[in-house]
Amino acid sequence: MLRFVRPRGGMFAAMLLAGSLAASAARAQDTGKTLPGPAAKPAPVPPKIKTKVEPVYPPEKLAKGEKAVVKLELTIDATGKVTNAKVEESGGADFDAASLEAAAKLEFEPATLDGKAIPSKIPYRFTFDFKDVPKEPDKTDTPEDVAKVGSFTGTLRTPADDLLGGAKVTIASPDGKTQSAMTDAKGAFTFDKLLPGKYKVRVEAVGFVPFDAEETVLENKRISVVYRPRLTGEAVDIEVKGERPPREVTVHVLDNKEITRIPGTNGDALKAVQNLPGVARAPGLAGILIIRGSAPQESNIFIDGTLVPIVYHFGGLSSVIPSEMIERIDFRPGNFGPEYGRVTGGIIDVGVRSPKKDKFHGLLQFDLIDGRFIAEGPIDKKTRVAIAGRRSWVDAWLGPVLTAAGAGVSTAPVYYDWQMMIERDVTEKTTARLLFFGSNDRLAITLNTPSASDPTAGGDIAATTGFWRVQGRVEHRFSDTVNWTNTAAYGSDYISFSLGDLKFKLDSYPISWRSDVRAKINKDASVIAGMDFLHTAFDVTVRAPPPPEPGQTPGPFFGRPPREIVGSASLYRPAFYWMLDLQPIKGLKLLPGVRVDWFRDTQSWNIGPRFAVRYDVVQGFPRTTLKGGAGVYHQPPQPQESIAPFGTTGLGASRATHYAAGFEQEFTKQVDLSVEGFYKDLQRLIGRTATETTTAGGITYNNNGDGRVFGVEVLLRYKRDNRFFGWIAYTLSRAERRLRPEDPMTLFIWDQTHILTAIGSYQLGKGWEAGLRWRYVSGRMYTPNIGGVYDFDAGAYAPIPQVPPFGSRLPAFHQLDMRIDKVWKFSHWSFSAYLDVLNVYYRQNPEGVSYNYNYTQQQIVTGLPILPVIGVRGEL
Amino acid sequence: MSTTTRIIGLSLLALVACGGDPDPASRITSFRTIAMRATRVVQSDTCDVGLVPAADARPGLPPKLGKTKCEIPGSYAHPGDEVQLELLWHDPKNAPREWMWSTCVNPPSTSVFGCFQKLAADIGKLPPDQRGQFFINNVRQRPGAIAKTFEGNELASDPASDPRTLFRVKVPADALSSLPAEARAGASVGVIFFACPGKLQLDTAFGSGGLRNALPIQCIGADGKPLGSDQFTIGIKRLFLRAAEENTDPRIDAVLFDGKPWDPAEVKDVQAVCDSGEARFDRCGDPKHDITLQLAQPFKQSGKDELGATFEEQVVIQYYVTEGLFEYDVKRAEDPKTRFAGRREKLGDQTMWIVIRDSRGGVSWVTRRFRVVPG
Repeated sequence: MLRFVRPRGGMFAAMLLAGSLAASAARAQDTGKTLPGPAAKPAPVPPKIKTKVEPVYPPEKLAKGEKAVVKLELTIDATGKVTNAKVEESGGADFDAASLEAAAKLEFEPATLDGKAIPSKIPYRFTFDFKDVPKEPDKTDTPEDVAKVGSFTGTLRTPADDLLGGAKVTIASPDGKTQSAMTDAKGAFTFDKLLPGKYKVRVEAVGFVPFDAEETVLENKRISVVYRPRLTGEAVDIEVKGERPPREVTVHVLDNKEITRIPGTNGDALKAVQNLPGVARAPGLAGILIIRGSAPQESNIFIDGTLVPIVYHFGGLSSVIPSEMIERIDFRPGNFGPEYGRVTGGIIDVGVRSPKKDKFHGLLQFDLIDGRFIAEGPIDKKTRVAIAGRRSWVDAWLGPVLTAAGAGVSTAPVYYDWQMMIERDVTEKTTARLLFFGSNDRLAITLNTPSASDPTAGGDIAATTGFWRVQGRVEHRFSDTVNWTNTAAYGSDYISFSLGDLKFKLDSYPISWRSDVRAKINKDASVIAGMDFLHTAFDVTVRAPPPPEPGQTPGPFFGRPPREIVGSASLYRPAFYWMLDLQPIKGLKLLPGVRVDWFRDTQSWNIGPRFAVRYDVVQGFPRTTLKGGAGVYHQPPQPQESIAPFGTTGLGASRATHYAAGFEQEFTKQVDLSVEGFYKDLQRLIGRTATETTTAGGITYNNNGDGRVFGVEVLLRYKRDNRFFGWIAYTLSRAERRLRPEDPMTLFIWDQTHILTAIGSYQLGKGWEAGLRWRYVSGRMYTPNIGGVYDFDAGAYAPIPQVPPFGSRLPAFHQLDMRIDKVWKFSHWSFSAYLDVLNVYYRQNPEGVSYNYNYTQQQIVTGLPILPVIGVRGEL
Repeated sequence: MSTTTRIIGLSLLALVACGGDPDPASRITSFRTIAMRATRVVQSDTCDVGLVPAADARPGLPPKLGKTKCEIPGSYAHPGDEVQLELLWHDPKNAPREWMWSTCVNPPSTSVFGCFQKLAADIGKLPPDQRGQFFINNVRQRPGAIAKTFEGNELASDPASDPRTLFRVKVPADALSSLPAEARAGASVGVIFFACPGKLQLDTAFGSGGLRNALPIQCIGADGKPLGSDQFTIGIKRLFLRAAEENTDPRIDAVLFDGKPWDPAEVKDVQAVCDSGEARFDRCGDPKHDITLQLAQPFKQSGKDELGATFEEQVVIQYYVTEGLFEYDVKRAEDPKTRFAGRREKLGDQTMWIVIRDSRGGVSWVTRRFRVVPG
């Protein structure tokens, strides 16, 4: 059953949380609704109050001047009637009884999903304040007036419960006459002498989403309400989901406000993903994602279903798409459905939200890392646009630092990203969208003093990383039960890196097309089918010595003849997928599916069957769900591994089999627990042997590797209420690999045994919010060097790595981060500021190991010291 | 993609972590090999321009192979060539060591460990009981190798030459032709050098797996146990094989000390202006001395090689000293100047080596003497 929180209530955010959760569960059960598309799922429309009833103020309480608030959970059927009311937060027996009596008389317009009425649950609150009790008739009023009119008063509060002054409240009487009032400093407004009847109410405040309601004014009554409009930044929630029904195993849902308030992330939504179970901590300044012990290149990142090459700008300072443009983040650490493939690790799909429809909005934000802007709004009733951009400031301070260190800096590290979107409702059933987005990171420096450990690291060093995509998406709803979404994209990925005479340059031009049909067959069965097409042409230039075998140190490079290979080639990788969504009995959901991939470069069909199951052992609150799944996943080789002259023809795809099982348990409305065990069996991993004297590429790849990853993930979460949100995420895991069958299985470089993240954020009131994040992570694996071989051509030593590799672990990482936010609201805009402090207690966290010139002595390299980041934001 | 990001990140990390190095590569206080240069030795009745009669090739070294042979300095060798390797090394204690030279032809990788890997592959083909003997044969009787260990050194026929310093290798005539044309960029003969303060022997575990980074040779200490790889010296030099192409070594015309020529015979006085144990040059007092070079022009080559690949050499200068601090240990040839300061750690006679290397294996060096006096 869907759960909603009454839109006008103070638990609006909770509504969305609960709604998302419940919607997930509901999809296993409800029927006849249009299935959500992969990028934009239809949102359920909450019920609206139709007949409002004021409870009777208990006389004894009134006499004593006692106030109370009673929070209820209402069960509303598909006709809008209240079929059940339950006290969630008591105000005392008398107040509770009065509330339940009144609640039974309430009438609603029922909640809908895709236009169809559905049952729902909502929180509802009655506030008993003796000031709101109908007063005695004013002696100046005529008896007739008193008898024929009522009044309507109310208070506006922010989601943080602060009073909202300066807002405009407009009411329209049944005959269409309107009148307006501004809320005072205490957020209060009053309309007196109103004729009885239903009034439409609209609340408008800068920085808040316009809010509509309908109230009934009764004769000789004073209606008192409390409205809590949402902040515009909360207009659309961002959900960070784990494997989410109906197609996967587990669900983690975070809303926008949680994501943007997590300490240590600078409010970056995609960096918030790093705090979820299954995500290892990346080394300092490495913008990579390590999901369930997989290598970074074994996970894919999509923006609205289109593959993009990177998720973070350099150094992991920021993600390539700003949080404000994100509608949702689907995070699938494993056992993902058949609509995704070509990787054996995890999936992140970032949904970009639609531009706002109500009016033009703007946002400007600056912090010590970057500055950004967003402008968006409607062009006409059917068309809206958005444009956004961001540029880093890092070059402003890092450039001088590099110069002081002896480098000539022509381009200090800088990054950009941009997004432009136009969206139009072509017909009632068809929405089309064009999105242009991209990212660019670059730097260029000249080192006048080459490195003593490898003189190649001198002279000109330049690096550019970027991509852009033009993406078109058409979503057509054939009926309430059939939805068809087509997403096509063309773009370019470009990487270039040069170090002295050595260089690597790759320009690729991916064309992708995803066509996805979702249809409800009957109330217990749905089908999902689609095509996922990818063609990538690329031009590559490599000028470097061929890499050595795994485990061998590649450098020093100086004095070794670079091999220059210039070539062009293309990849063609179509895929088809099907999945059934079955509910044979109430509470049980079965999800069999299969994905078939063709990899032209390996000349192979790869069939990946997948299956997931969820069973609500206890339905309703507090829900208990068992879940599990298994699936086969294939990852084609990287282009340089499989396409001549760089790679080895005949190479096959790597294969992984994912298994997962676990449970979810609700404890209270706010607190739930998710536990999941997983096992990944890795086969045909790609290894290599050095063949500089037999092949043009100098390396021959093979499929001789194998490995495994297993562990358990726990998420104990307190979902956000008016004051607090937080969670504890813990992952215990082990990742092992070997690249030759004769080698022993050893820990993988990305193995992290313990990953613990504890987050809490509390709203202090008056726009203040403070939060803490503490992390404890096992140290990263590394291969100690046990000495050096002198390379006479380089005049430097090549380290001798210990065998077997990754035999040592750095000391554990732990760090406390703190964040403080403050929001000021003005009549037409809002201003906010934050202070995000990383590493509050100045932990000297180990990030790596450095050696002396001949690798006979080592010392731990520590990461960043305390790093405060201050940011400000203005929003229209 | 992520690799690029990682490189940038690690570079920044390195900057964050930088500071004075208490144990820089430039300060040589114990046994160390510094450089190795190759010279092709060719038969010629009269040496053409650019060829140096062997008798005059290296001042201080006696005639070695007869006046009809000429030496051609350079890092590239041709099939069938006889190539002489000369080692620059320093041992302040002159401790007894077992020295060994060996070679590997066309290793699968030009990385340092490719040569060991080739040796492993060759030895691994033999029955285990024959491997020890193979090792001895490889060291002492390997076809194409002229000089082997110190004790069995054929060059000992020339009593004036130091077999620890010189080694000759014969490049197999088919070393290039036996490779596919598209793989000849990696053709090379690797020259392996070992110096062990104990006894060298073949690693008995060699060839039994886990060989990727294992060294094929062990250095056995006085207690009969293998010494750690930080306790003996291993080095590798590559002779890149080309059909006809040459790579001449970069040359140093002159060394300038505070702007004035510093002749090989001249011993400069340098005041000790750095405290003992001081690792940071900027904390030393004055005077500090400018050290720079005049290089023979052009000091670097560029163009297209015989395989059709374009190239542009990088040339670097590396400074070494027995005591003292350099402002920069390594400099690009375009900007060779560094500064030097004496340290109170050790007063008296010291040595400075200046080595210039190009990125295709070419190398030259000069040696200068100076005296650290109280500052």
